[in-house]
This record gives sequence, structure tokens and C-alpha cells, in this order.
Amino acid sequence: MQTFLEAFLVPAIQAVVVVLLMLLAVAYITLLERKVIAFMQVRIGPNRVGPRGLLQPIADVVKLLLKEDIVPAKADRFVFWLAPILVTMTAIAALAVIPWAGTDATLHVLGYEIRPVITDVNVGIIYVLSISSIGVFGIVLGGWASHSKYPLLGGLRSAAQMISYEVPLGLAIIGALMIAETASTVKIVEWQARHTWLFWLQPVGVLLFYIAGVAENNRAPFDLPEAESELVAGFHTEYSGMKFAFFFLGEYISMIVVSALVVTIYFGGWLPITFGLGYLVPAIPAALSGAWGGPGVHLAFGVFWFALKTFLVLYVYLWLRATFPRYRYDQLMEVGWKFMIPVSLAWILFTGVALLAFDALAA
Amino acid sequence: MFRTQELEINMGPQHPATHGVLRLLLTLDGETIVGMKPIIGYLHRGVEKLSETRTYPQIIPYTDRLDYVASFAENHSYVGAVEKLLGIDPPPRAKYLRVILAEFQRIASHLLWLATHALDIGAMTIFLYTFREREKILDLFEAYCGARLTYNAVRIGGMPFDLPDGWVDAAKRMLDEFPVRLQQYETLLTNNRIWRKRTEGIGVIDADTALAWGLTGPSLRGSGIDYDVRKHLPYEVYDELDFDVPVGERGDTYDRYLVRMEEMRQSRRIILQALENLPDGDVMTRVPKRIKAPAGAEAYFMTESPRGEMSVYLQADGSDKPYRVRFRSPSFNNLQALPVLSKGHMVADVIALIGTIDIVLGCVDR
Amino acid sequence: MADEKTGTPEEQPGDPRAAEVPSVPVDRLRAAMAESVEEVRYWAGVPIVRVRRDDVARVLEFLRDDPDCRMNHLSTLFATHWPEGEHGTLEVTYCLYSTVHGHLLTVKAWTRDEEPVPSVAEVFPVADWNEREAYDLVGVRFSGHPDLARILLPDDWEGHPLRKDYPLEGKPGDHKSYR
Repeated sequence: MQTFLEAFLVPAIQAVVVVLLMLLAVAYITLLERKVIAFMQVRIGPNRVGPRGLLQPIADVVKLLLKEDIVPAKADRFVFWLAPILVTMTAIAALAVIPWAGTDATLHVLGYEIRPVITDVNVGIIYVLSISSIGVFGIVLGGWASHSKYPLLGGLRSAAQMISYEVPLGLAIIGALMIAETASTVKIVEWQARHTWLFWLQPVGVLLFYIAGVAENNRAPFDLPEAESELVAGFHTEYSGMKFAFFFLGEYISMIVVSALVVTIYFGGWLPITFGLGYLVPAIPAALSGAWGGPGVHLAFGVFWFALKTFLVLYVYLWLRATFPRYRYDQLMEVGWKFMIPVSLAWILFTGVALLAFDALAA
Repeated sequence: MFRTQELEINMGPQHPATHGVLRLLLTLDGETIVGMKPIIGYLHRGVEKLSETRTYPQIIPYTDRLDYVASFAENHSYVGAVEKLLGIDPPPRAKYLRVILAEFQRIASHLLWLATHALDIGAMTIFLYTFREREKILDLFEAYCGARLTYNAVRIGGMPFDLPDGWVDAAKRMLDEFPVRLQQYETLLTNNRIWRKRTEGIGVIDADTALAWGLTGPSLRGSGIDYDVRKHLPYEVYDELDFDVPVGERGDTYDRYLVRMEEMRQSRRIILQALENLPDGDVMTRVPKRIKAPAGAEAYFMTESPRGEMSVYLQADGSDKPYRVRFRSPSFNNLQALPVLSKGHMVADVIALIGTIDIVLGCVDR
Repeated sequence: MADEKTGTPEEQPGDPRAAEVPSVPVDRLRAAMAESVEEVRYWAGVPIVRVRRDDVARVLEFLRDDPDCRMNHLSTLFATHWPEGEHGTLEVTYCLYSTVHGHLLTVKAWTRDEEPVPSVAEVFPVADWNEREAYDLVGVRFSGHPDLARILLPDDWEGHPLRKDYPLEGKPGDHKSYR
């Protein structure tokens, strides 16, 4: 029987640690984004604040904190205030079920069991999907509450985008769940540890999931709700200071969530990258995951591999942004309804048939 | 209780994508445009009035400020009109220099167009790539006349300076690597599915309508009419040079994009030929100190600026100041067709269309 | 040398720049609409045709549609103020070009204040804004124009700045928007 402390206090401390780490990560992802895109665009990027611009995110945060917080005169003040918080809170909440190392990395401190995941619910993946769909309400409400025309258009666009891309986002992972026979984020990685990365079995699924995830996060080339060329800044045109920073934070944490989810479901979460050598020499993956050490070593290796893979997936976000023009509103809908949904349904059917055939052959 | 209402929205005069102080009064049904009214004049400086109080040579710097991203073309157009009015014939070397610089200006202007057009559609990287090449052209202009944007680099009767040492080699180096760079831009855009989706079938205008609405330059040639002043009414030495006038077929934004891309290649061809055949000699002919035109003299001189037909009409009254100067700016006339082009399209297309007609507000408002 | 204010052609006789050049549109116009053509002169190789004011829209339509002329490109349209002009005080100039045959032609119509010139916006849609500009800056009225409003200046501007009698200098308070 778990004590109250075990059930509540330990996850609470873990959550605080994760949130603080996330804030730091987001700050440095913004720097990374600016540096990476600068590199792709043959320029230098931020290099004035601190060595090689490393203190730039700190300067940005200070600037945003000190900026005047403007609320339009006719805005609905409560909703205007609520919207950025909704965006950020839901994005953070989705992180609760992301495991960053295996169960063998469970630490025991003062008799308390500290697992490398805040909570492992058996419907973890579905929880992430439902939480992230609430987040889009923040954008719709923010656009509406500003009582201004450009944010309104941005909010309307995001409402349409939300409905269109929630569906393929959910459908895309069904194939993976069918194969692993679980919706728990921890168990799906453990399945991959026993067999192989689901990426090899679900190449179409991962593409669909990633594209829908980019659209769900309003990132280029699907950044219509904040399309700067036609809608000025879209739903956050009227936001400034810390409220604007919260939208920003929410968007970047959502990016991390989608990347982490892609890694967890398809690329083996905390498992090391072995380029298939594990099948020939089982000692290699064992060595790369720190099997020779105790739980602390397991944790360090798990977090390292997880963070590395998440970073690589995040990098694709930046790459996309530097490469593609923006879709138009109706074309976005077209891609969502006429391409993504039929293909994901077909992929589910294919996966099901393949599973049945495999079972029949094995029997 | 419930009803639908059209949304009136003011795009501009301060807006990130209207390239200056253009204001568009849009009436929207959802995201579809049902009405559009361009409102201009925010940058009106009265250049035509100012010109009436200045002597003929004093007006040249004003023309820099019309189309400030292609000011050489404007200088050239005005000076050409004065020369036509007075019957002055500049020396051949000056004519070649004008052609070389005008074509460099065309490339620079088209690069800026490509940069902003792509940026408006959301492809931000190309912006910085094209600026890299534009920078080299501006360096060439700086080496020639000391200015990078407003050149004031044509004189009545010729050119103010000869080329500095090493200029021809620098120009050739720039032109040598230019096709490679152009290919890079094309790799990013020409067959990019999103780019094609955003430009194909957008702003279609057929040839007769385009001409009736006064579209000129690449905006007109995208519809399939090969009207290029350089070929139709050759000035300077364009009739001695070999180049093609690219035309489109469907008259949509994508064709206009292709036309401009090809124009940059043709401009390169022209410059290379002109550099090859560059004659020796003076760059200035003898002109009177006080330039006067007889009363009743009037001349209309048309040039092909990067944006289209840039023409100047001069009316003289016998003094050393023109009685009336008329700048026929391509942007003003092209902008007029924007409501025609945007009929039935969506908000996001307006941005693509502002890019495709390639306006400069200094040129629209004068 | 010339009468500075009238704007009538008084160049020295025999000036080579004023020499006559052969022109198909002028011949066609003389043949088909002789009563509309009031005067033809030349400068720098371009014929300048003065036509009767009320016929200008018909003349342009003829020039556009006649198979030998096909003057399908109205390059520009502008007005000039001649306070002591011989044929009127306001001169409207139309510059035409044929992308088919390559003819160049300048057409002129003279009018006085408050006497409208027929709008050619029906014939050439491009004339719409150009006529608005001529109205805005010079004060020419065009009859039959769809929306003859100011285009470059603010709607409440007083006067037409490109007129020769418009003051070149002013004091604060001279214009209500100048403070």
C-alpha cells in the first residue's frame, strides 16, 4: 500500500524538476533554433550576449519579463489572461507520462521509490493526445478574446486546424499500438527493447504522426494561425510581455512533447542507438545502456539516449521551418482531410491484415 | 438571431507584407475575398511638382527616390527622355555602360523581388540567399558611383564616370558564379510542391485583360505577350545585343515567377555580351552648360525597368526647367490590376499577388 | 524663343526634331475621323495629334480597334495646366502604343476648368487611376468616370497642386491639415 507521500509528494517533486528543466530546455531551444536556422541561411545568428550568444535566452527572458503588458481596451480580460496559461499548462501536463529511462533506473532514496517517469498510466498515449487537444483551445480563446480582427482570423484558422489534424494524429499511432498491444508509454518502449524499434514496422505511421504533430503545434509549414505575412502575428498579435512569453513557451514545450512522443513510440525511447548491431553482438546495446552500473548509471544513460533522439527529431522541426513555404488555409484542410486521414485509415487496415497474416504463419 | 457578416479588414498601411505603405481595404467572407480597394498616396512626395521648379540636371536625384530598389532604371529613363527631347546622342561607350548597369540593376531588383515574394509565402531562407548575391551587385554599383541604393549615376549626354580599374573582372566573377546560385534558388522553389500549390492558378489574368489594365513588364509577359520595350522600341544598344524575352503561358503567379527567373539569366547574357563588346572612348558628349529645350518640344521616352515599362514624358517651355514632367511608373499601373487579379482568392493569396506584381510604393505614389 | 505661357508650338521653323514622320495611325485617323482631328505635329519622331475634346473616347476606341492601328496599350495619361493656353487651360495627353504593329502616338485633348473630358476608362481600364490622378493633381474633370475621387492626396485636400497657380510656399494655417 502506497503512502500518501509516495503517491503525491514524490511525483510532485519530480514534476517541479521536470518543469524547471523544461523551462531551461525551451530557453536554449530558442537559441538553438536561431543558431541552426542562421547556419542554414548563411548568417551567424545571435552572438552578442555572452560567449557565442549563450546568454541570449536569459536576456530574452529578462526582456519579456520587463516588457509592458498591454491588454487591448475591448479585450475580454479574463479569457485574454486565461488563454496563454491554458496553452502552457496543457503542454507541460502532457510531459507527465513521458518516460526518460527504463524501470531498471528506479532510484530508492530514503525508502521512497523514484521512478524515471512521473506517472505511468496504462492509457498514457491517449492521455497526451487528449491533453494536447485542450491546448488548442488556448489559441482559439486568445484569438477571440483579443477583440481584434487579425487575431480573430488566426484563432478561426487554428480551430479548423485543430479539428483537421487531431484526427490523423490519433489515427497514425493506432498501428503502433496494435503491434505493441499497449497504450502505456513505458510498456511500448519495453516492447521495443524486446523486439525492434516500431519505426521499422511503422514507417508510414511515424511520418503521418510527425506531420500531424507539426501541424498540431502550428509550426512551419503549417504555421497558419500565426502566419506573419498575412495575419501580422495571428492569434498573439495583441499579446505582449509575459503573456506572449507563455504562448511561446507552450509552443516550444508542445514541440518537445511531440518529439518525445515520436521517440517513445517509434524510436525506442531511452534505448541506445546501435544501428542493428544488437542482433549480432548483444553486448553492445547492453554496454551502451550502462547495464554494467547501478540504477544511477542506467538513469544517466537512458536520459542521454532519450535526449539525443529527442533533439534529433526537434532538429527536423527547425529544418522544415528553414526550407518550406507556408500552406494556404484551404490547402491545409485539403492535406488533412483528403490525404492524411485516408492514408492513416489505410495504414491501420494494412497493419491489421499484416498482423493477422503473421499470426497465421506463426501458428 | 444568428447571421453571417462580411468582415472588413484594413491591410496596411502598416503591415509586414504590404512592402511599404500600401493600404488594402479588404472585405472578407471567411477567408475569401469579396472586395478589395487599394488606397495609396501615403508616400506621395510630389516629385512631378518638384521637378517643375528644378533645372533638367537637378531632377536626376529625384528619380532615384521613385523606385528606390531600381533607381538606376529611373535615372536612365529620365535622362533618356531629356536626350530624346533635345536630340542628344551619348557616346557609344556610355550607351554600353548604361546597358550593363541597367541589367545589373534588373538582376538586383529581381533578386529582391524573389526574396520578398518567397518570404511572404513563407519560405524565409531564400531571402538571405538572394541578398548574398544582391550584395555583390550593390558592391559593383558602389565601386562604380559610390552609392549603393540611390545612384544618381546617369548624366544628360552620357555617364559621369568611366569604369574603375578591375571593375570588369569583378563583374565577370560575379556573373560566373551567378548561374550556380540561381540554380540553388530554383532547387528550393521551382519544383517545391508547396510553392507550386501557392502560386499555380493564383491571380490568373489573360493577355488582353492584362494589357487593358496596363500591366507591363514581367507581370504582362507572364500572360504570354512578348511586350518588352528593349525589343519593341530598342533604346541605347539593345538592338545590337542578342537576348530572348521569356513569356509565360497561363498568366498565373507561377508563370510570372518563371519569367522573372529566366529574365535574370537573360540579363546575365546581355551583360556578358556588352562587356565583351565594350567600345573605348569617352563616356560624356558635349552638352550645353545650361540645358534648355524649345517651347512646344515634348518627348516620351519608354524604358523597360525591372518592374515594367518606366516612361517619362517631358514638356518644355523654352526655359532651363521642364514645364511638366510625367513619370509613368510601372508599379502604379500594375497595382491598379490587383483587385482584378485577386477576385475570388483568399487572404493568403493577396500576399502572393502583391509579390507577383512587384510594386514599390515609392514608385506608386511618386 | 517662345511664348512661355501658352505652350503653343513655336519652335524654330526647320528644326529637324519637329520633322514630319510617316505614321499609319495618323493616316487612318485622318481618313476615318477627319472631323475629330484638329491638328497634327511632330517632335522627336512621334506624331502628336490634337483631337476634339468630346471625341477623345471615340478616337481612342477607334485607334484600339482599327486593324491597321491596334493601339492596344495606353501607356500613360496625364494632364498639364496651361493658364493662358490657346485651345484651353487644361491639356490631357494620352500616350498610345501598339504591341502588334509598333506604332507610337500621342493624343491630346484640350479643355477648360469645369468642362469635363470624356473618360476613357471604359475603353482602357488602366485609365481609371490615371484619370483620378489627373483630377487629383491638376483638377481635370472627367465625365463618365466610375469613381472620380482623389487618389494620391488626402480626401480633404484643397486645390490641385500641379496647377501653375498653386502656391509653392505657405505658412502654417494656410491649409487646415498643415499645422
